[in-house]
Amino acid sequence: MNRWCYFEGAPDPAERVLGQCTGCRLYDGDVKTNYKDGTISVSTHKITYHGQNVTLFIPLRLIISANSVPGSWNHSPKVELFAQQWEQSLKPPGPQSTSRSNEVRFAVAKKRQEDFAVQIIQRALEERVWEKQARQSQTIPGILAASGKSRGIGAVVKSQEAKHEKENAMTSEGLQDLKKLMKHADDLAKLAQTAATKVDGQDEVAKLRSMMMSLGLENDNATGELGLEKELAVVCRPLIEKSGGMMVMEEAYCALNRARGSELVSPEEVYSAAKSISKTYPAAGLLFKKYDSGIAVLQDSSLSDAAVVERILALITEFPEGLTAENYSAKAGFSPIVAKEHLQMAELKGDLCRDDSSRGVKFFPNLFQLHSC
Amino acid sequence: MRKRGIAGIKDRNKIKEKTAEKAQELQKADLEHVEKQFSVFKERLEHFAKNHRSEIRKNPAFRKQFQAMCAAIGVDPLSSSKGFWAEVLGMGDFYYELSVRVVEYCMAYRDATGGLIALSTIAKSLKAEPADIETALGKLRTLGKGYQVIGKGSTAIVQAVPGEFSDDAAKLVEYSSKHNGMVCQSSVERDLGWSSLRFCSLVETLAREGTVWADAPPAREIQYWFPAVFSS
Repeated sequence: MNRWCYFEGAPDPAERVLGQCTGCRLYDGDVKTNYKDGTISVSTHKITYHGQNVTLFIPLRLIISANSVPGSWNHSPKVELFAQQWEQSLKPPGPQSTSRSNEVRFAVAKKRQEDFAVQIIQRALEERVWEKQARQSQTIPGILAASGKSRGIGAVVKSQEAKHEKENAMTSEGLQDLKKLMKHADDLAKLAQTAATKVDGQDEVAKLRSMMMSLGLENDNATGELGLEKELAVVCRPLIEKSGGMMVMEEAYCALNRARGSELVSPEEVYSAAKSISKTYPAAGLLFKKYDSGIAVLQDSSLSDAAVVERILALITEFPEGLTAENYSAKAGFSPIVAKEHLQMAELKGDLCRDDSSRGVKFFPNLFQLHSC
Repeated sequence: MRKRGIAGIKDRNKIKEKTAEKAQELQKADLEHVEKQFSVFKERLEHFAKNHRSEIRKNPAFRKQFQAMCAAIGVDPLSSSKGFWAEVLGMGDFYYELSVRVVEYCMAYRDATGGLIALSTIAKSLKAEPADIETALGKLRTLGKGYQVIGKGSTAIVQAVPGEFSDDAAKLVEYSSKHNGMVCQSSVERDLGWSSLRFCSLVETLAREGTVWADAPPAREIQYWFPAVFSS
């Protein structure tokens, strides 16, 4: 709060107002001050508060950063400015000589105004219009003035900026290299695709396919890698048996990679291994299934839809008040997601009816169907 | 002039054969050419990796750029764990493992906030960059319609319960993320142009599932809060 000073005098001729917010209140740290219902005005040179018959200001050159604090139940949205202390010799009189905080805070009246204000302030800080003038007139020192002697926070900011610039420089060189690399990759991708239209014969096709896969092009990876199917079976079978006979693909992916520990495989590879497992490795007794909702599972091959429905109908007799997904999941051992899919699938088949109320969704045997024979 | 008679046929077959042979030769040459180009590219990638591997590992902005550029040329660098990119740049294990951790995190915490989790929360808890989490989630989509991302950037929300989350529900979540996780009937009707029936039936469903919490402050409109959003 001690950064604010009384403004007496005329605005700079080159000064432009960039934005304003009404209904603002100044804070001293976390404490409200009596400077309320004022207008905060951001110009190219300073931030001004006008209200309660005074005008206070802080020059932009003292502002290091600005950020917004969104409001909540009982706190209005605020803008927080981290500002340097005034230079001893230059500080005009102000309302307070001490401050509870090094941050200048003010509250805005409406939501989103805090973001708006911060944007304007940040832009003004970037443009540094006041500094361009200062360099010409050499009267007022700026934070990162060309004078070279920056002390305290100014010096830290300067070195941080220099470091940031260095990082950016690295990135731009890396980026150039990356662009060239990508151009090469693009040409290669096009070449491969042209070749794909002309190539013939199993061997050639296989060769080209594997090349395209290494580049990241082909999507249907039927690599004939029996290794992965076997791995999948070994890792997932015990888990599948523990969870009622099926597991969601994401869990299968996690289980497989956790078991590996290193040299992990991609989701695509797991997915295509699962899809083909019933054909390429029937000994595993596993089947891949994708529900209408888009959920994909790896399940025991004996667990057909009909078997699932039968199980549900047997179970439902224990729940005369209706079967919920939670009950079903707990009783049958399936994960809640799989349980939900089963109930919906049975409903679609016409074997179950749902009752959707404020108490949740409950399923009942479809008596309409049973009685309409 | 065409040759007549059997001799003519024989000759024509011979020509056909020869042409077929030649075509095969050309194809072979084509394929050889492609193979050569691939190995040239691999060398180039290895050179790139030597210079920039650590930067890719440390700089998330670089990774984001990299992903975007790959997508632009129709290449998925993470689709094969044995592909150039995964192996040479070492990105495979990083993202595959991150995907595993994201799934495990979502499985553990999704019920706490009604199936929704803020992307920033996942990022903070897993000590990873939000952009990388987003990439990891994108990869998981291959496994089935599991994790949907609603909204963009730092306020994105992940729907971590696979299944139906209607478009309307997603829109409401996105709207709430711009208002600190809160929505009320009047502002939704005004800003999104929804009818009161549309709003009320949706919030009723969401409240039942625990995705929103209703708060009725005295003498004010009921506020509906998305715990996933405001606790991020």
